[in-house]
Amino acid sequence: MSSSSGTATRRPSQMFRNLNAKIASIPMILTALCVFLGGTVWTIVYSFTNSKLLPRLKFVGLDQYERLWSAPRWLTSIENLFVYGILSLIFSLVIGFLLAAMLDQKIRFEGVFRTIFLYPFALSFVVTGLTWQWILNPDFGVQHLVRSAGWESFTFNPLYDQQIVIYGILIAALWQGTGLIMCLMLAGLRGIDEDIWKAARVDGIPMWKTYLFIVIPMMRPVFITTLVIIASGIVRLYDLVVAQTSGGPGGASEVPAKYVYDYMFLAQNLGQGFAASTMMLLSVAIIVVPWAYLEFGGRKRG
Amino acid sequence: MKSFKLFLASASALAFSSMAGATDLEVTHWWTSGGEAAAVAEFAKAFEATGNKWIDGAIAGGGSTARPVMVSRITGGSPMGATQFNTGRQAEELVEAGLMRDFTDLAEKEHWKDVIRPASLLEGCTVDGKVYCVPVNIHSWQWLWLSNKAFEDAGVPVPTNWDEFVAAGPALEKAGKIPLAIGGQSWQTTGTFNVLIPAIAGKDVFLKVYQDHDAEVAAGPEIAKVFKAADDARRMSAKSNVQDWNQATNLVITGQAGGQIMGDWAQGEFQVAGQVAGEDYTCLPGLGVNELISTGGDSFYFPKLDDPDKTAAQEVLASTMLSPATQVSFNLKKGSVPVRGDVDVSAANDCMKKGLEILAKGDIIPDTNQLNTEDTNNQLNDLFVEFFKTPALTPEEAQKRYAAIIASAD
Amino acid sequence: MTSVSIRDLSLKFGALEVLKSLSIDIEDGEFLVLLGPSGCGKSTLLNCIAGLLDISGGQIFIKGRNVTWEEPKDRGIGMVFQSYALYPQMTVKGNLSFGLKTARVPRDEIARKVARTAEVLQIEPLLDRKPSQLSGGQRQRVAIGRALVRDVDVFLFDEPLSNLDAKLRAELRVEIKRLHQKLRNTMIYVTHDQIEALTLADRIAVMRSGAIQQLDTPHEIYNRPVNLYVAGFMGSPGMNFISGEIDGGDSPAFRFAGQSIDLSTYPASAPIKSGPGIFGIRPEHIVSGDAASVEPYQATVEIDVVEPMGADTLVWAMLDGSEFRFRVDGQTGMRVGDHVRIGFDPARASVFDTATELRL
Repeated sequence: MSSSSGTATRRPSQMFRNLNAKIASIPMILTALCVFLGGTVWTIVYSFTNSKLLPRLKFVGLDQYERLWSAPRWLTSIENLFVYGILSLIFSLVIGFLLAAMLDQKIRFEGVFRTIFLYPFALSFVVTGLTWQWILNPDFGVQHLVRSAGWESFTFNPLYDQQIVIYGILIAALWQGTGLIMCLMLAGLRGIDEDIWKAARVDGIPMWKTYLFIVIPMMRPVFITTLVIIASGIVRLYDLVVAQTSGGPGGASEVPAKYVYDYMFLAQNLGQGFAASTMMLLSVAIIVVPWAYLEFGGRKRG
Repeated sequence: MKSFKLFLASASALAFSSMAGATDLEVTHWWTSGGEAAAVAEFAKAFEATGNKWIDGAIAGGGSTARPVMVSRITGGSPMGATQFNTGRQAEELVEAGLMRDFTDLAEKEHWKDVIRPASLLEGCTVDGKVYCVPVNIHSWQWLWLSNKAFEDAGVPVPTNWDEFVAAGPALEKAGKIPLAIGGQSWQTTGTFNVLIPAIAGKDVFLKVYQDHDAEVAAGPEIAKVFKAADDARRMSAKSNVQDWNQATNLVITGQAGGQIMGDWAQGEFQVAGQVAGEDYTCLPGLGVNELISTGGDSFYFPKLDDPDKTAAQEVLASTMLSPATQVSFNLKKGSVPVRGDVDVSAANDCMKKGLEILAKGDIIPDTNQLNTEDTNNQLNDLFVEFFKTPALTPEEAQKRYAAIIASAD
Repeated sequence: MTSVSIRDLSLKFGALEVLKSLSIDIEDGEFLVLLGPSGCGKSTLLNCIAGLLDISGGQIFIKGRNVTWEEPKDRGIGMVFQSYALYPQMTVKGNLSFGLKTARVPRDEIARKVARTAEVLQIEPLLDRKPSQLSGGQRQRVAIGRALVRDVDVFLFDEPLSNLDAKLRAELRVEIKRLHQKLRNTMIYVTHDQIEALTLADRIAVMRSGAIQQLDTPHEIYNRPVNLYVAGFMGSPGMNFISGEIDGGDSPAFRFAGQSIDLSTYPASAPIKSGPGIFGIRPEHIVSGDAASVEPYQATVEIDVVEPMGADTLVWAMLDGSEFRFRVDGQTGMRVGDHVRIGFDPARASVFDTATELRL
């Protein structure tokens, strides 16, 4: 009679554990590697060539980048993105939070207000851009309305003024996007313990201070999520500009994404387009990498 | 992927053509204004008279919107039957990449070299001895279109040259008119500047800058004079707030603007509006200063297709476009000059007759589309659209940047 | 002098009357417990006293001042919540000083008050920690400290121990009692746990459906419950109830299932009338074995279930058709089926009229 076999079994290879799950995730991994990573590497490599209409492997070193950084249009684009980015971030957060705080007051018809504020978010940037182009048009829009109401000398013509056209675009973008920020903030506010409000009231702390010093610090995760969402929208700014101003007047509302598109397809100069988009990737990486380190890499908070 | 798509396309085309007996050919172009649409309808009519079917692929938004679409379809493997480009270097790389078919045999058979004038047109289509495209018209940029009504309202006589036009500016403004109408799209401001060069600095300077890409001349005193004229143009067009070229033409047609610097394709608009040259509007070739016209225009290119029926239809279309009757009917509606010298253009209006005279005299210059790559043209577009809308950008500063672009042009 | 006084306080939510014309006078330094099951209105009453809810009728006085329409911060109250509600992003010191800073108290005075509070509550080493780094007991002390630092007259507690496990609850209960002895502030404490009520309170207000059933010392409430509800609510294990008939007159008795209990020594509040009644006797007032022989009422019962609980053992038995429980020492061995002699003194019982449920 033999007892249970004497040879000890080894632990099965870790590779084949959860095999089904691993096989199922292969398409996603391939997509991520080939499309995202591969495409990115390909673009960066070809940004060092002088590809024109079709890509070709003739290396010219940093020529494309030199030309890029001496092109006035690119410098204007960067400046516009900077101004738009910072203001869009600040105003989105502030307006979104204020709207959420107002909606959080247990008012009647909260659902109606929420729908009204969120409605513009359902529109594409192209529709938003066109709509605001009409609203800000001096002959049909706001200026015309106010003038025909009596104020003859009223001027409100941002889309034809080079200095402030970027603010015209900012208004359209805020109108479109603030609704979503409001909803995110509202969800965050709803997660605040009722008792905190009561404790602050008993302590005699006024409403605005309660929001500023107690509630907002408690909503840190929501703010960070919102920040990432807004930031991703900023870098992608393209269709709004094309629809609202076509980059005008006189190139004053150009943005990097438009530069990339125009040089890749209109100017039939792929090399320039690749150089510009590599710069955009770099700027995103500069922001995202430290944030990712802070959130995930550093010491885990309790 | 490309061959699979082509296989699908040709398989369905085969099915279609074997059903109808006639071949469908998709033709893409960007002729969408009133006058342009009327003209391209003539091509469609002539092609359909051969028993085939014209599938119209109009793309709105002008050349700068349409060309990327056309290029990406050809490079992406779902090519159309035929496509418009401006005569010149726009399709250079596509030809070099072997994506377009040639018509060398057809050209021999129909003696294209003999009938098409000037020779530079067919030369622009020839690469390594092979003919890759069909020029269908001659367009020139160097025209100043004036609204007789606007000057009447302002109480000044219609100017006969550029300097008189600039002088009439203040009077036009007082009468509430926009002196010079220009659309917002960047190619229009560049075009305006390029017209000022031969008009003010002459043919040699123009060729030195755009043909030889001589940066010294570009930075020199003759071009400085051109920039001063451009400064004047900038001031006079400051209130011009439209986007498309034909919207600017419309300002002239309705008498809201004094004038527009635009190519002779603007004639189509005046025609559709029922206006008569000399009575309702005046045309000044070469801005009335140097009567030179450029010989640019449109050519049709034909991507390589696998379907033999469609390939045969392409030959029919090419031949039809160059046939004498079609040349006359198309060009009269388009406002351009036919490429054939042997056709009857007695039905042409005053302005076109002026153009034909100048062409016969040989006072012609090549078009910038034949001399510059799209890349250089785009950089020039960026510079001039900024210049025209930014009063703070001085002519001197702009000229420096201009010279830099010319220096780096290839 | 009364510290807190409520006159005819009522609260309506629409047509629903949540608090029904309550009146309580609380002495200075008294520890009053509002006791009742969920939904009885005790937390609501506390919130009304605090000023977090607006009342529909009545008046509230704190330290002689009419504060019925005052803001919570002007009422001289401090509140400790079930979840403690400490400000999570501030240190303990920040939590204690935030209210004072907002009131523009000068900095050195804030420092003084915070130091004093920290000393009293023994949280000095914790001043630089954040709430997430504190234990449950420490958090409770900080929550109390937040009220203490403002020198309030009245402390309000809204079920502060409900979220804790049994052992911690017992520890912190003692801390609260010690604190009350030290500070001698008026404290109003809400709970559903009768053990907390009995151990902490100077007086208990037993509430039910928005009305106060009985407001009395724990001893009175436990031994002389004013109605059937209070009698059944207090005590664990609960009082035994036996239904039967009361015979009034000169020699009153309680008859049930052929038995009769003499009620002549029963301290009734008024002459006993005849009618259906309920006899209540607490398990711990029933003695068994030899001790039963000296009791006025005695009987022999058969043991049904035995529940050993460590210190005591709860024995279930049947007395002529009625089930009841009695307590014996944990060391005594009782077995199911045993017959045992039990006895009790009717003077310690509570007899209720079946119809009114009031104690006789």
